[in-house]
Amino acid sequence: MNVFSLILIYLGLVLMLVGSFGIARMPDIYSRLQSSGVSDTVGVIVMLTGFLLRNGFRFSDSFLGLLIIFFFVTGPIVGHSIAKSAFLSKVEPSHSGERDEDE
Amino acid sequence: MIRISIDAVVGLSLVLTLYRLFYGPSVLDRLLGYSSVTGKIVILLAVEGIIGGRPVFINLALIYGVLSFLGIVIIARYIEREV
Repeated sequence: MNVFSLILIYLGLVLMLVGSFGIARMPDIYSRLQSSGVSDTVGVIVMLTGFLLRNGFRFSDSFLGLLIIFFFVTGPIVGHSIAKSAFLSKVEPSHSGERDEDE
Repeated sequence: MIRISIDAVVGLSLVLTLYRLFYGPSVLDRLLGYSSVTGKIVILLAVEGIIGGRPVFINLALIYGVLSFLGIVIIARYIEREV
């Protein structure tokens, strides 16, 4: 049980690091949103399940399950609302790295 | 031992996110940075709750997550309607 929770915690750490690295480095808002989904939703959920399994399931940890469900539901909603407001305020996706056919 | 590694890695990713929060060319990047900082703060609170031995911090993380989620969605809808 303990080893499994350690694996999950370190996996969540790696996801969080990769996601926030993507947030800092991506060219425009849309790709930053995609990488923030990695670090914010998946990384947090994996780490919270790692915490949940850490010392068996105690009643004081039941809020962790609620937290996991909460992040499971609201992660995509946040990403969607930011992307929608970016799209409606006509933010152009950047064309860096695009290659047209005849190049 | 695990507490130190979690704090170090979350701190490093927090620095990257704060860079986006402060530098972010548009308001939406700052909003994105804020939502990412929220996730990190929830993780730090949960770490203090579980490994630090104070279960009350998990409730704090939940309340903080709910309130900041509301703020983010409301600000995003405000930005969308302003144009």
